[in-house]
Amino acid sequence: MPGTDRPAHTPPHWPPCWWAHAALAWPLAKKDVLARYRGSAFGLAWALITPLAMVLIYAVVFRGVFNARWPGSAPAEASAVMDGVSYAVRLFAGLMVFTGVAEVATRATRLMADNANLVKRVLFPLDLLCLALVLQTALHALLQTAMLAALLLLIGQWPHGGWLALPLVWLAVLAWQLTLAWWLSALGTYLRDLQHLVPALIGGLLFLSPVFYPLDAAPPVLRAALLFNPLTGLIEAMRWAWFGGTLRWDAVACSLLALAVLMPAGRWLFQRLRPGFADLV
Amino acid sequence: MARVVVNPDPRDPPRDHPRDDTVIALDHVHKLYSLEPRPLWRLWRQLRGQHDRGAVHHALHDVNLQVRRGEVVGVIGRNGAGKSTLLQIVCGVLQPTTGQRRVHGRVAALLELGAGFNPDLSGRENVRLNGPLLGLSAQQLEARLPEIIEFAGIGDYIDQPVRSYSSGMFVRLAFSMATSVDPDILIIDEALSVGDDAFARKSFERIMKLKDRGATILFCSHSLFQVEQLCGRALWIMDGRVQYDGLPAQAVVEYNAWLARQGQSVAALTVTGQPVQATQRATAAAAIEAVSLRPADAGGAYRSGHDALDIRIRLRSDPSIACPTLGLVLYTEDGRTLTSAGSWLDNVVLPRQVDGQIDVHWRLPALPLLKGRYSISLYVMCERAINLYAAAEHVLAFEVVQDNVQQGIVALAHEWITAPASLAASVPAPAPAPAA
Repeated sequence: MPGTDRPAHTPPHWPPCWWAHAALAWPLAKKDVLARYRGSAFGLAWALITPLAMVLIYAVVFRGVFNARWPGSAPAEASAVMDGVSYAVRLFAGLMVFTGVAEVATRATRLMADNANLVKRVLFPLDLLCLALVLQTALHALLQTAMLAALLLLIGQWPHGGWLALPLVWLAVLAWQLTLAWWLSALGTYLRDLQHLVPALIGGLLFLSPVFYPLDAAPPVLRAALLFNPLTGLIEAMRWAWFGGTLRWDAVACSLLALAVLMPAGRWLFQRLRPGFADLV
Repeated sequence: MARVVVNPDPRDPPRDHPRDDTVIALDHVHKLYSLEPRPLWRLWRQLRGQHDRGAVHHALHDVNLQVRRGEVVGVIGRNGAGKSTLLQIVCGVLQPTTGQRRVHGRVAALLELGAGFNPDLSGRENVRLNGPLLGLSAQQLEARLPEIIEFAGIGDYIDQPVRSYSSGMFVRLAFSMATSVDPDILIIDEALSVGDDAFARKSFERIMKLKDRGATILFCSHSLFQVEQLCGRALWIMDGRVQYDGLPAQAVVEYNAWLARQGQSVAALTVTGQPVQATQRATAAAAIEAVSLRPADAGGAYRSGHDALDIRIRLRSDPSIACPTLGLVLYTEDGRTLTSAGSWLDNVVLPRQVDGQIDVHWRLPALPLLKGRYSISLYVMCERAINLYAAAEHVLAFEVVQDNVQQGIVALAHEWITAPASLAASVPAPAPAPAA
């Protein structure tokens, strides 16, 4: 019910419901995206170049050096190149989820400090900053989704029914991002330590999420730990939507259950701590 | 979570009823800043809602304020008195720690101009993207965009990144945008003179237009003169408390008296913010070209009660704008304002030639000052005597000597009544009045 908690200072003519609220966040997100790529020669192409480069590096290292393989990803008689490509696209699907969440989490910790002017000097519903942050990564996600789809078509994988689930999976990912943005932006304003802690955690979490390997391939000890990682369910579901196979409902359920608890809690926390922001940035 | 404020006491008068004229209402507003250095404690206190525990700074103390539609309220007080905090709370940027704030209408806050601007984007993009934050819809914004750009007067620069703007251009665009929303309430923090003098005039006119249209204006200024000239009401804030709320003239008197009690030179604080010294500034609108004292007859010093003080002033003004006004302030040696004169107060129109040159004399016949050193400042202002065009502070200094031992700084016209007959006539007799 985001529509009911308009900040007290919001003028009466301001959008009264949540979708209009989101309509306000959109120009903000657009502004950040525009500013981010303004002046760079490749512009928005960076949103694709960076993840592609990462996928390429990870794929070469994990497939080429560690000889990692995705069970059932490619027929045994496939060429080495095709084998590598099919590993890479699966890696890409998982990495897309992870990088989006990682970026939101990292930037959320200094979200208020970065927008100190808006916090201190302007009439501004601050929760829009969180929404705008998520919208920005959503835009990147959209581009990356389009590119993955194009890649798959290129290697001859035709769209199937699972792709219809993609919007739902993305919705869950964005909801998680928003939840993290509320939690980390509110706490990060008070505890600057998070600005150092969160990136470190993210670095470790990359290997403790089933990005480079499927959940089923993890050793049993690790598998139990992975189930507690909310990203596991999201990444598994994303790969399932793209490539089919069996969906690990337990991981998905864990993730959604945690979301159901943490999202309202994050909302509450943000509203509770918000009055103190202006004194701290 | 929506918090519905239900008036628990039916006897409480419905002050905040929308039909009421009150557009700003602060009710027992306190603002505390936590001085807690440990982040975890600070977080814990905020979570628990314990705002008054531990070390705190009391920025506002039980402030009650009701502003009606169309009022122009000036806020005066020393730096750190809580003026800005008060304005920020009225805007809604800061939340009161305790107490209620109710504001009806669209607020435009000129607290920090261009705060939401992104330096990498062009002026046009910034206006487009910040418009929604001011409460303008996309259509309204597109309709007003040409006017905003026109008013800012930055021409083709509107499509350049804001980082390439001069500070003046930046402020002009931000002001133009902030005031283009037709606010019901305008909140200004020392921003009456933005940009260069031509724009300061324009911006001031826009503010006046908003005022004439019935907008409520709340502004804080260090210029007591401006507050007196502009406002119908003034607040004097001291140490977070409203010390005085009422007529501006009275507020200025109270504030000045308090400053004097604090041992601070009123003139040095209010006029220049600096100790007494000759300073001069001019703008394209007007300049003070020459000022001279007619040489005193008695070799340098003026004889009290005998010589005339005769100041010759030559001004230059932009002939395309309305004829400026001239103000003159006479100070004692310790920087206190002794008296002042304004051409607009005396209904004198300065004699301006076609090319904008103005020659005028100001005379004090039979100088009523007593012995001492005095100085004079000149101010050239707009036709309404609000915008300062040019100033020459303490530009003239002179000494007065006297041939007797009368004490003080000024000789006031006075009479001694000594003749018994006139004494009797002037004192009303207890006996019944004689028949006419």
